[in-house]
Amino acid sequence: MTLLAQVASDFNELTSSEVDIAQNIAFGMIAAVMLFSAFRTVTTANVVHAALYLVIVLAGVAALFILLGSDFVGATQVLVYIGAIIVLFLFGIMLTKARLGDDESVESERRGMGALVGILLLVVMGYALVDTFENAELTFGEPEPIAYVPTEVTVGDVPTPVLEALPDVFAGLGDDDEVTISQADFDSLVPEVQRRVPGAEVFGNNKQIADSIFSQYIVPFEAVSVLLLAALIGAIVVARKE
Amino acid sequence: MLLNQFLLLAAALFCLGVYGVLTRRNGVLVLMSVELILNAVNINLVAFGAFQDNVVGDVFAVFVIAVAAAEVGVGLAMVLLMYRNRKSIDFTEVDMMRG
Repeated sequence: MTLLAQVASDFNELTSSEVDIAQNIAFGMIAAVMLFSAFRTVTTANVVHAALYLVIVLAGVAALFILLGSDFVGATQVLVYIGAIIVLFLFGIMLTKARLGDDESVESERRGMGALVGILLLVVMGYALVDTFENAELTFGEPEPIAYVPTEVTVGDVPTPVLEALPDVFAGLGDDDEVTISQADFDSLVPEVQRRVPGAEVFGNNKQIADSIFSQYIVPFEAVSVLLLAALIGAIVVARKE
Repeated sequence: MLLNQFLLLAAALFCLGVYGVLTRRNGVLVLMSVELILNAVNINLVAFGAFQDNVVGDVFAVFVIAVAAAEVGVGLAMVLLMYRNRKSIDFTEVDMMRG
């Protein structure tokens, strides 16, 4: 028995570390692409190329959000940044006729000072981070069990994987019959099939995000909406012709 | 995954953004560098949120994205105004408020 438990725990150890390796490879690739693109964004002489490199950086940030399990923030990043802000930048470039092609070459003095400040900042922040968080692991833990409220559904609306996984429940029923999948039957399914069952609650942490935005953080949320309105009016007032 | 790999990547992005703000003369490119800085902060917020296993980091990251959108709108309007008045968007030439 102990041997069996040992083997089982070894197996769990192996799979979780394999997941970790896959995550680390994904992180390394995203990080390398992002750093290169960010470097090109701040050094390339071509203004339009800078905007396009910025798109790659923003997409990499969205990928990191998804890697961290924050799919809602990742989707918002794609919609707002890549969808809206980059378009705004491209309009800005076009409307200012910034001599498409060159940002008049930076004086070497400014470039040297900028590089000095940037590297000093990186060294100080890097030392502080390594000193403080040394080997703190990001643990995602076991996925929470999927909540289920037994509901009455029409057999025709039940997805095929669920029909195949529970042949006893649906035996001898036509497409128009109504049936209720019991909690015990639901618990016997694997998670991939469970999330297809009508009535299963699969929202990830999006539900928690919505809850906290519209309860605990409702005042900042309203403040941001007023801020956006003010920014909209302000931009019109600043940019319109007299 | 280590928490530090996200924080160090964000620190590198932040420093590249600072370098861009300090060296770029074109107003639009300075605003792009500011976006790099804001994104570095967002990575930190979401990474700490995942580290502490709550959604507060995500919520604040969404707020930062909204504020960044407002900032770009107003910033680009100001760059446009400057271009219309001076036919140039070189930030080193902006000295109207010099005492």
